[in-house]
Amino acid sequence: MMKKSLAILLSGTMLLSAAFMTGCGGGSSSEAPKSSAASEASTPASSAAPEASEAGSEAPASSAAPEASEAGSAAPAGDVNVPEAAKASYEKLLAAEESLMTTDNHPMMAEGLSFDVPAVDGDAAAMEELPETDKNHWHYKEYLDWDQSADAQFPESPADGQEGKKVILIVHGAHAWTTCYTEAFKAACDAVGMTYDIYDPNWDQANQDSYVDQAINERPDAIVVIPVSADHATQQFKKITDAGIPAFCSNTTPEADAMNFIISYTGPNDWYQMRTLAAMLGESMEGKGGVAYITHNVGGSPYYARCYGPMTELAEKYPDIETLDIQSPGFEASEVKQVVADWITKFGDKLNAIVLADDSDQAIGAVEACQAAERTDIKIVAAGISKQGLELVKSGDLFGMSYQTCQGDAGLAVRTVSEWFCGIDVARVNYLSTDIATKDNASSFEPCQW
Amino acid sequence: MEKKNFKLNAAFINRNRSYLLLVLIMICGLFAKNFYTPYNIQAVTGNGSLVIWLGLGFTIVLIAGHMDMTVMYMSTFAALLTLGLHADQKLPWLLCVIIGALMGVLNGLIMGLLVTKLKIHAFIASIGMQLVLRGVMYVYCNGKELSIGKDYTWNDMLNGKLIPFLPLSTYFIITTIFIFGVMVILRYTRLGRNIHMVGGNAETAWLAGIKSDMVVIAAFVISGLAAGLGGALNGIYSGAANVTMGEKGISPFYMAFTACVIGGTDIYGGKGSVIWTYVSLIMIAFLKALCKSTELQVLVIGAALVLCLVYETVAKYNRDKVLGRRPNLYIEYKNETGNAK
Repeated sequence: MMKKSLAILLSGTMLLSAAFMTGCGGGSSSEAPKSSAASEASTPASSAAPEASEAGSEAPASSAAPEASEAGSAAPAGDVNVPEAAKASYEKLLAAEESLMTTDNHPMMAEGLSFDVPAVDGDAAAMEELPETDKNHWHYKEYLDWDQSADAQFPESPADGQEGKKVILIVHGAHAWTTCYTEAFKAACDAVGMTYDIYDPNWDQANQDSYVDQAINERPDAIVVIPVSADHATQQFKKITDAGIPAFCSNTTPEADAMNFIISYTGPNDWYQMRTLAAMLGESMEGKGGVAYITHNVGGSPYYARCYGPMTELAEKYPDIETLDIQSPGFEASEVKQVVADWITKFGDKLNAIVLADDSDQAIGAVEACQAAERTDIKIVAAGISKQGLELVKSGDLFGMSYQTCQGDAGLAVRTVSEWFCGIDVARVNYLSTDIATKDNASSFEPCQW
Repeated sequence: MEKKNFKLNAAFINRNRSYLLLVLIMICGLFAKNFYTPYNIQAVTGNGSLVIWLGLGFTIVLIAGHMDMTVMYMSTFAALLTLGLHADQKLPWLLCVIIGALMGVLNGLIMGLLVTKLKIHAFIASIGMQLVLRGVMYVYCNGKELSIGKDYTWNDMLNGKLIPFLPLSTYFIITTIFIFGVMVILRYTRLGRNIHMVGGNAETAWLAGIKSDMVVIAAFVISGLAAGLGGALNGIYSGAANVTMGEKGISPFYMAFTACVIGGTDIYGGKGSVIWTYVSLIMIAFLKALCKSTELQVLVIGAALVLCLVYETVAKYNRDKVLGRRPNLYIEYKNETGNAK
C-alpha cells in the first residue's frame, strides 16, 4: 500500500509540477509590476543631479570627459534621420529618455560614451606574452579591440520602431544588483513600448547556454545577454547571430572576438573606472606600500577589470607599490573577512591597501577584519555602488568606490536596442558615464539604487 | 511457457518510472509554446549530453557498489586540457580529445586502486581526488578560462546535425552510441555481469571466483573514460571551459546522481542500467526546458530525487522484512493437512 501510494504521489507531483511549469515562463511583461525606477519616471530631476556632476568633477580623476566622446548613437533627436515608419516609436523613446530617472536622480536612459582605443603592436596572443602588470597585456580585454573585418553578417534593422517588439534578457545570476537591473529594464521596456522575457541562469554557465538556446527557440526580435563568462560569450553570441536574431551584450564585457557577433555592447567602462580609483589610491599612499586584491568571480570581465585594471595602473604610475596577493574568496562576507585577517597576520605593516571587486558583502567582510585587527589605517577601495558600500564610504571605512549606475546600465541597453529598431546606426560600444564616490561627494549618489 | 499478466500497479510504475516520467514530460510539452521545434529538441539534447556522460560513469560505479564523485571535476579538467592543448600546443582536436579521455582513464585507474588496494572508502577517495583535480586545474590554467578561440571546425561539427533529417546534434549522437556500447558491455559480457554481481554482494562474488578488485577497477576506469571523453567533447561543443564549471546553479553531478536514482539504480549497488539513467537524464533535460525558472528547476528535480529516495528506502525496508521468509509454506501446510479454506 505504501509503495503504491508513493508511486502515485511521485507521478502526481511530477505531473502537477510539469503542468504548472508549462504555464510559468520567465517574467512576462504583462505581469510585470512597475518598478521603483518606473515610479520615479514622473518625478522631475531634482537638484541632486547637477550637484552630483559637480561633486563628481571635484573628486580626483572622476570625469571621463578627456577620453570619452559621445557615441554616434547619441546624437540629438533633431539630427537623427529616422525612417517614417519608426517616427512614432522614436518619439516615444525620446519621451522615455527625458522622463525616466534613476532612484538617485540621474537620467536612466542617458546617452552612451565611447572611448579612444590606443594602438598596440600585435594580436591578443602577442599581448599576452607581456607581463600581467603591463597595461597592454590586457589591451584586448579592456578595449574590445576586435577585428571588424571578421564581423558576422548581422540582421538588418526592421527600421519600424521598437514598439511591440519582444526582447529576451538573459542575466547572469541572482543578486541585489541583478534585481535592480531587471526592474529598471522592465521599466524602460514599458516606457518605450517593448515586451520582454527575462531568464536568470543563477550564475551557471551551462544554464545560461541552455537559456540562450531557449531564447533563440522563442524567436524574439532581439536578445540581450549579460554573459556569465567573457570567453563563453563568443559562442553564445555566435549562436544568436547565426540564428538571424540581433544580439546585444550588456554590463559585462565579452572577449574581443565576441564583438564579431554583437550588434552593440552597452555597460560600464570597468577598466577605466578601476584605473581612476587606483590612481586616487596610489596618490593617497604617496606612491609606496603594499596592496592586496579580492577579485570578482573568476572568468567574468569584472574579474580582470577590477583586479588587473588597478594593478596595471599602480604598476605604471607608482612602481614602488607592491602587489602582495590576489584572492578569489567569492562574495560571502565571512570568507572575505577570513582572507583579510590572514593577510593582516601574514603581511603585517606591509599591507596598506585592499582593492575589492564588490562594495557590499566583500566590503563588509574586509572592513570587519581590519576593525577586528585595529588596522583602520588600511585603505580599502571597491567597485560599486550599493547601499552598504555607500554607507561605508560615508563612515570613512571605504576610502572610495566607483559609481556604476545599475539602472542606467539597463536603461542604456534598452535605449540602444530601441534605436536599432528605429533604424538608427548604433555605436558598437556604448559606455555608461563614470564617476568616483568618496566621503566628500557620497550624498550625491543617494538614495542608492540597490 | 507461463504468460505474464500485465498489471498497472505500483511495481510496474516503479520499474518503468524513468520511461513514464519522460512520456509525462513530453505530453506536458504539447501545451508549452515552441517546445516541439527541431531547434529546441536539438539544443535540449545537446546541452544535456555532458550530464549523460557523467551519469553513465556514476551509474556503473554505483552498480559496482561504490561511488565516483570525481566525474564532474574530471570532465572539467578534460575540457580544459583539450582546449589548452589545442590553443597552446596547436595539437589537432582529435589528439586533444584522446588525451582528455586518457586522463579520465588515468583518474579512474587511480580511484580504482585507492578503493581496492588501499581499501579507502570510495566516498573519501573521491573527495581527495576532487581536491587533487581542482588543484591540478588551477595550476594548469591559472584560474583563467580557456576557449576554442576562432577555430570553429569541431565546434560546428559537434553542434551540427549528423543525420540531416534528425534534429539531434552530433555530440548527442556520439553520446548515445557510447551509452549503448556500455549497455551492451553491462548486459551481455562477463565483465558486465561481474560488475552487477560484485555490487550486489562482494563476498558472494569473491566466493564465485570473481576477481572483485579487477572488476571494481574496471568500473572506475569506464567511469573515468566517460567523464574524460564527455568533458573533452563538451569543452569543444560549448566553446569554453573554466575551473568553476558546474559549481553554480544546478550541478551536473547532482543531476547525474538524481538521474541514477530516478532511473532505478540501487544506491546500495548490484542493480541498475545505464539506459535507465540515460532516459532519466533526457527526461530531466526536457524538464529543465519546460520550466524556464532556475528556481523551479531546482525545486522539481530536488523533489523528484527525495521522493525516489523515500520510495527506495521504504521498498528496501519491506524487502528486508520478508527476506528469508516463505509465506507460502503455511498455505502448503494447510493444503497438505486438508485444512485449507
